[in-house]
Amino acid sequence: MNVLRIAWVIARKDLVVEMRSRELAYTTLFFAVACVLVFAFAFIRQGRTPEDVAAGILWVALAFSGTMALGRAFERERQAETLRALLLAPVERASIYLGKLAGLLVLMAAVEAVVVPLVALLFDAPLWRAPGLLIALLAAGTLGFAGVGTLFAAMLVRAHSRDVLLPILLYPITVPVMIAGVRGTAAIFAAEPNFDAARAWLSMLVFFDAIFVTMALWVFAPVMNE
Amino acid sequence: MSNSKTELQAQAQEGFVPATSITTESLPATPLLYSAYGAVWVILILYVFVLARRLTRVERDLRDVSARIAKR
Amino acid sequence: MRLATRLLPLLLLVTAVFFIRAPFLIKAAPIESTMGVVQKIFYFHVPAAAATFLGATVCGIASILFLWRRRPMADHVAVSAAELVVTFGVIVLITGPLWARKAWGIWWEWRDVRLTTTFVMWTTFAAYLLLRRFGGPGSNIMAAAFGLFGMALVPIVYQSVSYWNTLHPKATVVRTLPPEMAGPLWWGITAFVLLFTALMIVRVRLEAGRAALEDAYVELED
Repeated sequence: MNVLRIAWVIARKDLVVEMRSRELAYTTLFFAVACVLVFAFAFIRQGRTPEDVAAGILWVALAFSGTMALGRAFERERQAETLRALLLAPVERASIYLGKLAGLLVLMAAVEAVVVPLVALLFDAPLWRAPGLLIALLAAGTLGFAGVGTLFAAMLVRAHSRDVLLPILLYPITVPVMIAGVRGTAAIFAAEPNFDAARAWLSMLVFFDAIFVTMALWVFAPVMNE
Repeated sequence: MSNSKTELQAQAQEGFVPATSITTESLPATPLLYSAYGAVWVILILYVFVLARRLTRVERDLRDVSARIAKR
Repeated sequence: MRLATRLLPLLLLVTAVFFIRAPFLIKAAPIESTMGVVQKIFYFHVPAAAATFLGATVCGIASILFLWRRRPMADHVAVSAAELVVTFGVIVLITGPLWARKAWGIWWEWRDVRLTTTFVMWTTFAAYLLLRRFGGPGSNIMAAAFGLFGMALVPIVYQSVSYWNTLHPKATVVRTLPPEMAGPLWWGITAFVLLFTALMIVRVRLEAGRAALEDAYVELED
């Protein structure tokens, strides 16, 4: 399909640019780690953090660093005016959205590959208890978050106050993704794990993803046409 | 006809049950009820007031600007 | 719009009648057996919530219309509805905890479906208003995209929070209400829906006026 092929071209362009400088990867990763650190100290009690707090800290760190990565990724486009060039090109709007989304997902996957084990280490969370389920939760949650985020970041590119407006818009809408992600992860990490609950949260996440990504695809063209 | 409090509470989760006898409560309820009611009125009246003010201002400005355009 | 403005005085009169009679109906309603007299907050808490959800739906639909048809009236309706969601939302979020404090002993419960959904919705539509205010040119189109997500969010948040335990009286309460309680409730809901409509008409008129004013300023510049 042409749309997918062009999306791949766009995604590959982003990844190649990123590989050269690795600016986004390093800064996002470090920011996520810094978040984890701040939250860890916020919740320390008698030298350790309470058990069930690891899931929350993980997802909040990912949400914050994801928002930052979104902002930076599109800031880059804005400075080089490449977004306008893309919009002027005779390509389906959907392929721009999908391409940017794919690039961001790869970035977040790289960040999660480091942050998740780090959180497990610092908070004594049982990472290997259900690795498939955990990875699925992370993937679905990241997709939901990035799916909405890519739309909002793209549309805000030419807006005033765009740095602060992106989190203001993104966090309320991604509340259900956060709820499902945190509760699903917490169900796995808990002292008495509830894998059925985790699976239920996962299917809810997949359902939300389908809705959000479909809506974003739908809305991307009309909102980007000024 | 006298259910125990816990039974009634369980029932109240499913549906409200009109009281047959009133027992006194520890926390005074009436101030809460009246403050809630008062809050509704305050908020609504405030909003209507602000709305009316914005509307008169816009309509006045519109009249002014239209007059200036007509005068040209 | 012309028709709506003409109907407005009558609508306001009917609304006033409803609001004036309401407290008498509420006073006459039976006192609930476990929660006592504080349960009567229900008679205006639920109607305010109804108005909030109505506003979210109206905003969502108007946003869709504006996004695809770019009709200015749709935009006016969207922003007016969003403002009403925030206003009525404040009422729900104040009266709810006041009721909860007495009925459950706590001011707030995160796992309660309706409280959390309303809070998220309130935040979403407040964000909508911020976007419109500070987004700069083109913010009405961006807001329309956002408003669509805001409307879709309501059932989704409801779904996710309801998987948790809930303390809030279940939805079956409204259906199983005895008639002495159903009467005042539906009276209250009607009152609030009428008020919502009246406020919408006024607010949309304000918005249309603002748009006309901007056009007039532009024409003056020429």
